[in-house]
Amino acid sequence: MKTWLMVGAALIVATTLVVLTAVGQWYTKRSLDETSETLLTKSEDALIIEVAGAHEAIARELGKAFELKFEEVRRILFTLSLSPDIRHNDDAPAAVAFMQTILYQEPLLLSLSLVDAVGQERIRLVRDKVIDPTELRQLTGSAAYISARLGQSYLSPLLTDLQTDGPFIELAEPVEKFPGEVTGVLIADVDLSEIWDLAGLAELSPDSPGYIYVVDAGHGLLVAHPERQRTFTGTDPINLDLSGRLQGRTVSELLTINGEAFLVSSAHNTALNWLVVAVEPAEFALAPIASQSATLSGDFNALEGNLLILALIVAALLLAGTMAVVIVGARAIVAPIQRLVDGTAAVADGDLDYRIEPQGYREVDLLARDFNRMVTALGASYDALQSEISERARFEIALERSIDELTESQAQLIQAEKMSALGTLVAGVAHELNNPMMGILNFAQFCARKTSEDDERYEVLKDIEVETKRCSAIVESLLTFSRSEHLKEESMQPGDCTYILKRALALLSYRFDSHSVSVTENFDEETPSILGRVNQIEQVFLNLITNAIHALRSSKRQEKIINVSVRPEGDFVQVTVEDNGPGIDPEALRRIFDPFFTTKPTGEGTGLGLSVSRNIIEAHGGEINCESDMGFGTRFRILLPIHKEQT
Amino acid sequence: MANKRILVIDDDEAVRKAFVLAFRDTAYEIEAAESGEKGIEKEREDRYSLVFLDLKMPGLNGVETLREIRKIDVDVPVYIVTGFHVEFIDELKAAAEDGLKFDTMQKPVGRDQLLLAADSAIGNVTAHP
Repeated sequence: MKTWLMVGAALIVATTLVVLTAVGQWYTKRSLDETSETLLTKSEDALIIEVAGAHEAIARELGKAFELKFEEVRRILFTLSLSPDIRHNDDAPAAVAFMQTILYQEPLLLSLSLVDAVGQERIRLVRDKVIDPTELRQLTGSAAYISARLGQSYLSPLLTDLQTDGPFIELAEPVEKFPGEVTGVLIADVDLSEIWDLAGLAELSPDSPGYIYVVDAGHGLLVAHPERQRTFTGTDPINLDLSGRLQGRTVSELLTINGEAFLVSSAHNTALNWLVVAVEPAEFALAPIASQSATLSGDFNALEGNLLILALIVAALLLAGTMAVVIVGARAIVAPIQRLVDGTAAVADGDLDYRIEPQGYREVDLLARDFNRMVTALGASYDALQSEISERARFEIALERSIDELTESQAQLIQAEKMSALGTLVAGVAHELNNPMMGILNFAQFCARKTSEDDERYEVLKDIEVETKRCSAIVESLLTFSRSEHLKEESMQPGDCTYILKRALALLSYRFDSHSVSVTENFDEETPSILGRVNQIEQVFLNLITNAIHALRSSKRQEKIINVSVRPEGDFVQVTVEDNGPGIDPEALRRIFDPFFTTKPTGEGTGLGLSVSRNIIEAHGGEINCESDMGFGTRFRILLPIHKEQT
Repeated sequence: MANKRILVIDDDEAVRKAFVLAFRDTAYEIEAAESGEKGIEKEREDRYSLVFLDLKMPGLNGVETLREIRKIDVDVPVYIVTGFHVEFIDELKAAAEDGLKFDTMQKPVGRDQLLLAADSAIGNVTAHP
């Protein structure tokens, strides 16, 4: 866009130049012819009016040129204020870079500041120098800040740099993050040295002793004066009465200053509130009247002066044309950008369906396309974010549940740890108690044997025996408890019931021999594994076999047989331990798995073996039951679930 | 049956005394040793018909003592009389798997059970008073 815009602007400027020059030449030629005639015929008054009119035109055009210059700077500030880097003020390096570019391109700009919403200067550039953050100013009270903060463009009166005596004007523009919401202020200092050059060059006519000066009507200070040293510090050199010359008026009059008559013409520029004043000695200004028969050479001088005026007008017009082109160009740039800004604001307000139509400017359209793409992507990622949020919410619920479960299992673990430690302690104590109890038991039994049953001490000694056995049962139950706590620590692992049973049989093989018990085995080779605590399962098998041996010990049979079997049974592995002993009476059979129920003589059984065995089997998700026929034998049957993974 | 001599190996004096009193006035002769080492020495000097052996003892423990005794006499009946402490389970299992013969009894053991064990191991003797 920039390229063709620049080319277009250049073409317009060039065309204007050619046309104006042609017109100028034609006009010059014609006026040369005309002037030679009219000069001789025109009246004095008419001549004064004509000269004054020429002076006024020069003054007016100069004022307009100054105004346009400032307008240009203001436009630059406005464009700058639309930049996202400036508006959002969140990427200082990018904003600084942008401001530096502007300063570089516009030599009139002395400095550029970005002030935040509360009047604190955030960035300040003076020429090509970035001012240190510690030297940034607080501008809350400055007219420029206040005016722009209220949304008004600001143009200061003439100001003087206290250090360099350099003249400058302060311009300020609001920075709006969103339309109507002023979030900062841009302030620019504009160098006025060039204004002097413009004024200084503006001679009224060749050889004219007259001059042009510019005064700021606001406070009467000189803005420009041919004697440069007078400028910016001095006041109006001729103490002109400004009343009647303001409000955009153009005035000419003959004034006597220090005893000498002058033609004083002025034009007031309302935008700047500046007064451009042209002063020429009346003697010179009215010289053509004094010598009405002046030679043509004199006329030509005047004509040449006229020509110069024309050239000046042409220059001013050219300048105005360029300005117009710049302004139009700036509008052309700003309008599409403004649409982007509107789009950004809409998107920022949550309208993700907003799209920018192509404007016909290539770069802006590229930007718009990228913008649209960005908004589309934003919408997509917004949707993704939404679904992720709900996903995460679901996940959090699951997580909370997991945490609860974890907390619970942790509590169980701590409890298990405690029980394990307690189990170890109890086992140690219980074990140590067994020795003295064995002493007490046998001592009491000995004494009882040595005491006559008629002796009243006999019963007491028997009581000692019974109570000691009771102690022993308590200790045994403590040991069983501690053992089961130890067994709980064991991890679940795949196990082969046949192998476990064979180990239990091997452990007890000596008892089979010493009690003349024969064992028959019935193992199905195809039996799958179970998942379990192998040592616990082994303990159960040991209990059952030991019970069978006990049962057979008092058997009168010739053949004392224990039959064991392992085979698959549906989803379970079935293990049986069967003896051909005397059997269990139905009353005892009902209570056989109850804790502390035993048929063994006191001191031999604790009544816990089968109770513990059932607990172990049920903890594995299995079951254990017992069938018995009095006189024929007893059969224990265990079902343990098959290890699922292998099936 | 050869003799009716019984050896008890236990580091606890109360336990040894319990054995002695239990078998007093029976047909059995009982001798006691206070450690595995002394027990093995006695077994080497005089053969016994039955051994009661403690498991947890300073020096040689019951299982180690059992292994030494089996080197001297493969067949002598051995009862391990113990609180059956967890720490010896694996060693006992290993001994059983190695083919060493033994039986177990759980402390505290009273006179009836001791005599029953002795009777079944050595062969029935006359009725005990």
